[in-house]
Amino acid sequence: MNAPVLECQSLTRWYGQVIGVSTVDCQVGPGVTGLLGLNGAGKSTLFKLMAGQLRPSLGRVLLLGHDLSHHRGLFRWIGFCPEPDALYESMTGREMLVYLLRLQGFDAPESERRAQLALDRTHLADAADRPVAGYSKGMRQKIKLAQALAHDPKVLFLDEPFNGMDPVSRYESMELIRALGREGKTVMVSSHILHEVEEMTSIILLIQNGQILAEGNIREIRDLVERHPHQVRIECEDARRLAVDLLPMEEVLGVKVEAPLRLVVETDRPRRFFGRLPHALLSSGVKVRGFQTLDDDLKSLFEYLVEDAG
Amino acid sequence: MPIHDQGYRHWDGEIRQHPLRWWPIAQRGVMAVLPQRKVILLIVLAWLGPLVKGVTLYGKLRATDLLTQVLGDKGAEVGAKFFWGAIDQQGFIVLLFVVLVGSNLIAADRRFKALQLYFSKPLTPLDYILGKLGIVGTFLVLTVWMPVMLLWIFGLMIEPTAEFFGAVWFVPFSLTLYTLLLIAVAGLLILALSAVGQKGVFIAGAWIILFGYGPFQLVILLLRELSGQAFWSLLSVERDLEHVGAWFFGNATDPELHPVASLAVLLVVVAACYAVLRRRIRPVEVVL
Repeated sequence: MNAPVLECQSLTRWYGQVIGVSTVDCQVGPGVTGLLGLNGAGKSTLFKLMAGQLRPSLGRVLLLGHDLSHHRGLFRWIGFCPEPDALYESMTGREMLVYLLRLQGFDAPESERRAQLALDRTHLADAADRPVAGYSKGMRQKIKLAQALAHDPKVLFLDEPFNGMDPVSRYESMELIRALGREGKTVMVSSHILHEVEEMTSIILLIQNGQILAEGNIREIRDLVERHPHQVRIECEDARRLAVDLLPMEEVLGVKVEAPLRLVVETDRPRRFFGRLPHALLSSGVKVRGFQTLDDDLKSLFEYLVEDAG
Repeated sequence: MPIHDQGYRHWDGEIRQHPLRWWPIAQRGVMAVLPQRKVILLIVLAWLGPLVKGVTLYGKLRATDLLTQVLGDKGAEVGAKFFWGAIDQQGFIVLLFVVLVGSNLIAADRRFKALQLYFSKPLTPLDYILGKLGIVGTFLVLTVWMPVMLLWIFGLMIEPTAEFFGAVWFVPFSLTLYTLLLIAVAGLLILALSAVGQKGVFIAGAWIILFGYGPFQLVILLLRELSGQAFWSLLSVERDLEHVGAWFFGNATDPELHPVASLAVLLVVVAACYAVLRRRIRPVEVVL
């Protein structure tokens, strides 16, 4: 069997009396892997341990078969995009990239060449010669992404890379990450937004309370979620009338009228319910202004997984 | 569609460190500071003193009759002491350069959370410290080592005699040794403070006090006078540097204290600063 590119062995990190990450064992191979966790789950700690930004209290991280904490040279193969704005405001985007490439050991002409490639790839070439201080939040995210991939690393760690990005930038960046995965790079993306990760990969690691709660294919997780009752909030012009019309549907477990113009439907077969809903709405004649699935989020997912584990 | 190998590819590459990984940090830092008007002005000011010394040197070696007429000087002999005097007069300029260039070097990186970026590269904390020290060091070389070295060469050019060479041959070695010690002590102290503090002005103030300038110097002198104990002077890093520097040039500024004692204090300061830096320089700041 082939060895994984990245492997965590009994990885543990304490902060004084607090356990940040506890005995995490996992293996990550080429392609895009999503690291999902709620705020405070230990996602950032695990991410920083994997990227060599923090030293583990116990256990170790193996990168390409070598212990990361013993070989500083391994960082040549790591691309890290931190979550906070870790930027030099007075430098231009290009200067910053060239500087960081020089730190990787490239000479000045090669650094210039690679910086231009990274700027092109992240669609930042037009803003390359402007000071970083004038960049929008989305552009700042992109320049961080550019510095992470400019030296052609084998493993990329991208910590919440889409925070603050507009839809176009988000789409472009997702395309880029997918492309990196297809090129055979190992890309770890952390996020607390399930559908964001789902658009890039089917392989996920779920972390809660500093431990890996689930790992594997996102479809399996989806199926698990769909076995649990879903709640759908509907904004409409007459909530009571719509409630009466939806209640006879066999997929509907219950309906709660929250306000004259708003109701919440509970269903145990969401796919079938959404398939039949348009017909039911047309029959009822009530005009609908909006839908919102209330529990199709990460929090519910974790609750279901914990429930199942129990 | 290209088919990429998705399997594990073992890496047999070199994982040794590049010995000059710190160089881009120093280079970038110097280039960022150098174009500033106040820095250029300070460099010009720093060279004025040695320029006057150069004229004096010429006067002492070549125009002793004129000097005797004007100043009533007997044409004092030029030796290593003369060059030490040229270094010693740069004290205030050194202070200005260290606080101006060094105060924000690490504090700014911590403010911008740039340490995460530095340490996601194949850099060790030592590379980072050497790079930052290189920035301070470059300006100290520019203001201390280089002018005095040129002064020595100038002296040899106008007095190419075996007698003169015999009296000052060791100046380049003493000068280099002293400059390295100055960079290590003054540079590491400002970097350690920059790694602990947030605001440049407070870091600069703390450096001036700890280095032993200003009122602190007076307190030390007072304690020495009142107690009659020479060891109080060891508390002033500036006095220790002066003492050791003069010793390198064959003089003794304080007959009551052995220069080795001052050198030992300086080495302790260097070790303490390095320990603080190693503790504070981490990619992620862990707050408990």
